[in-house]
Amino acid sequence: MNSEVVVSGMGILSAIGCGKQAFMEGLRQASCGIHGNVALRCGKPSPTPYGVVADLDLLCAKYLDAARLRRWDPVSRMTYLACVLALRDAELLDEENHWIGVDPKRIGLVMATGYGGLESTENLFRKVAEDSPQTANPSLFPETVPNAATGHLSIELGLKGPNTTFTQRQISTEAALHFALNLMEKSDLDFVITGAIEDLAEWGMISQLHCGVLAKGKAPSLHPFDRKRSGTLLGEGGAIFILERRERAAKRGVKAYGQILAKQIAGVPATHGSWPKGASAAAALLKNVRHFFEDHSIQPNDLSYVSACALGDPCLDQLEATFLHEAIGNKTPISALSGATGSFLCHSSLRLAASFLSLQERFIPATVGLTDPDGATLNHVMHKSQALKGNSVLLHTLADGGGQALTLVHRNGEKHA
Amino acid sequence: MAQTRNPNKRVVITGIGAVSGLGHTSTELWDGLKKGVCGIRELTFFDCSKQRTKLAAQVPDFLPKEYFSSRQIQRYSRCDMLGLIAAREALQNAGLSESIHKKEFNARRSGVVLGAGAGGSRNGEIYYRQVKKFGFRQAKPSLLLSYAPSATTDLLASEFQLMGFRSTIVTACSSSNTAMGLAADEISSGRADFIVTGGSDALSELTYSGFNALKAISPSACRPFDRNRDGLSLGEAAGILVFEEFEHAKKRGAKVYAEFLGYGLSGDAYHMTAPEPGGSGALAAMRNALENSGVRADQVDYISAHGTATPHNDLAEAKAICDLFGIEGKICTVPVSALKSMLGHCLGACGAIEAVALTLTLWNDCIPPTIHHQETDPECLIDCVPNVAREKKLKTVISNSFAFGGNNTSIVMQKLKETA
Repeated sequence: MNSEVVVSGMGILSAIGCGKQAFMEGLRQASCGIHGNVALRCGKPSPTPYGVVADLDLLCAKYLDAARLRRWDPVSRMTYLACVLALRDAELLDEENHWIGVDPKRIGLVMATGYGGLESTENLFRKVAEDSPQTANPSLFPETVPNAATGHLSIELGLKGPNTTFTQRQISTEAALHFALNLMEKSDLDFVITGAIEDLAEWGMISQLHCGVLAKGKAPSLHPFDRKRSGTLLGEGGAIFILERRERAAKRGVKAYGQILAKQIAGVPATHGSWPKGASAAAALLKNVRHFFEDHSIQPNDLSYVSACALGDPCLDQLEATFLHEAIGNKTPISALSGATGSFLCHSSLRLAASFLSLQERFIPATVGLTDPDGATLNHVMHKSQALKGNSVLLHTLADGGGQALTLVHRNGEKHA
Repeated sequence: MAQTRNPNKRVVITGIGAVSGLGHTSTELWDGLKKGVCGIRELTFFDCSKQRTKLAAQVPDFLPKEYFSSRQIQRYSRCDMLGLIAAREALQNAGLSESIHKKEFNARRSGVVLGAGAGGSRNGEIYYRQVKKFGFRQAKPSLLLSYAPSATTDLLASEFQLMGFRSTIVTACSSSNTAMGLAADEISSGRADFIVTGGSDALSELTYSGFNALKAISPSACRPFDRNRDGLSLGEAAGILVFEEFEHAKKRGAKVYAEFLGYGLSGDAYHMTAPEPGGSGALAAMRNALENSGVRADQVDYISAHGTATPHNDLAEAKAICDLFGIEGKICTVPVSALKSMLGHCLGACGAIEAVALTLTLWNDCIPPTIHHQETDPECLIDCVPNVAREKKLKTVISNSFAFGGNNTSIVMQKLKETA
């Protein structure tokens, strides 16, 4: 791991706030951004609550012209917005989107996505299936490919460096981050833009509802690790990060948020498309965590807290609680963000942003929706945020299909401006 | 921007597997390529009566029940199935199947890195129609299990107990070239002993309709680099390669097909569907790949082109090739062939199936042809190995994949002097 690579900018879109300040306040106050009867882009009312990105239309109107708003898939619009916020935060782009002393050819772009342009996919296929392929709008097709967002970004900002897109279910963010850090380590690029964004699209919501993973009841709600959890609720958004070498950040006079000290992507057996299940899965997941701790000489006591991926699913949360208890005991604080923002495949990008901000601001976000912990005894952060000690957060993510990612986030440098 | 290589950990190819429009194995693939057989034929996988074109390089005579149980057929997408068949062949070919079966390998130091395209789109299409026609009660949510492009990666990891690194790249047509680059990084960095890599992609109505809407599909079999080329032919395939750390391969006495030297990426930053006309993105990807591999342009013996047969792609790629490899007399003399003339454009798997072919090209010292070639485009100043395969001693070869959004990746392979 190249310890000299730091995060110097972040762009955040979430249901509890867009931009780092609003997001941080949302975290600090344990806000819940999941609401019922929200206006969805597909125009249909939905009784199911969702974590819709706050003020997205206002932001879009501010940053994108009418042609782009019309042509681009929502996930591309959101990716562009988050990227511009991140570049401005890193003081690389001015208010008129001009580069500040940067050669965009020396910037890499490594993004992750859940499904890419799902809304465009829906619209194109609807036309093909219900009308005729010959009436399909040709401009929709390029919006359906998962790398459409990075294509638009590179064209808009003139980014001619390496440009790639990853997907790996819930560990998509970590997959992109892994490659982005590889690039910074092995190439002479000045910056790499990385992160993950996902939007709520109609058929995505329908299919999740049909698969039975959403919270049940007349007024469904999301309760990570809680005894009354009955499923998850969907959200959207994500975060984009600017990676650069510490010396360059210092030379530019930009303070770093921190760095990724260690990372690991591994797997455990799982039935196709399903969550790992049972005692053997818990044992394999635990083994992976222990290997990670051994490889990087990590002690549970070193951790300020663990950012868990719990999403309110009855089995998954129990599984995560069981092996986290084995791995770290009951002293290290545990925090889960899905209760505030809703869950989605790129959700760990938000948890990564939350980790950097909480290390900087010295608080551990509370697990929104958790009041009555179930199962294994863990030191849950409930009701309100609490003071943070130490300088490291462990981000833990499980994916359906059997992927598991561990990321050690470390604070360094002084407070970011 | 080229990356540096770790010369201490060499990456070799010890197993290959392929399912394509030319057959269900790498042997059938090579037989077809060598003979210049066209895998592009009438598309029967779905109803294309309302489509503007009717051809594609569909995997022939594919009966899932010959390979899978009914439960597996219910859960797996076509893309999953093609990937799994090719992976079984590759691991068998690498001599790793038995070790995997007996769990006599370090699962944590093995992994899966694939490129993907449409993935299980076809399942999503069937699901959509079921919901519209019969409502939710009759629709099968199990169809959605393999909709995600990363489903095949997870499937291979679980099936073969490869419990280390896993990742899926989704940059459309350059996905699997980038996947192989990342797989090589994992090995050369010392984090893995072997990685199952490549890609799988299956035909779907959505992609077929999308390319037709763009009027990018030729009504006849595609003719790369031909003066009268009028678009691409779509295809489907899975190309799986076992990348292994050289000393690890040597220790177990594995057959080594070739060495993977390196890769290079670039971004066009020009247009969502068209390449930069001067070929600057293609040129940068090839240049970066050579630099990453420690190879000079004059050491390259053969180029496996992206060669889609669209007017813009072939012209831009030919310009980039001439700029990098030079012109002797009237043309660039390094042989270039476009395998898409036989395999169709397999999107997320095109780099992978072409990498399997490239491995066999090196192994057999024989360059597959560009078929359907009638009249060379006078603006494409290259030797495109027209219609007939060519015997040639080969050492270093390069393969290109360029994608929507201007994502370009080139890879470099070499014959290994020292065999395991």
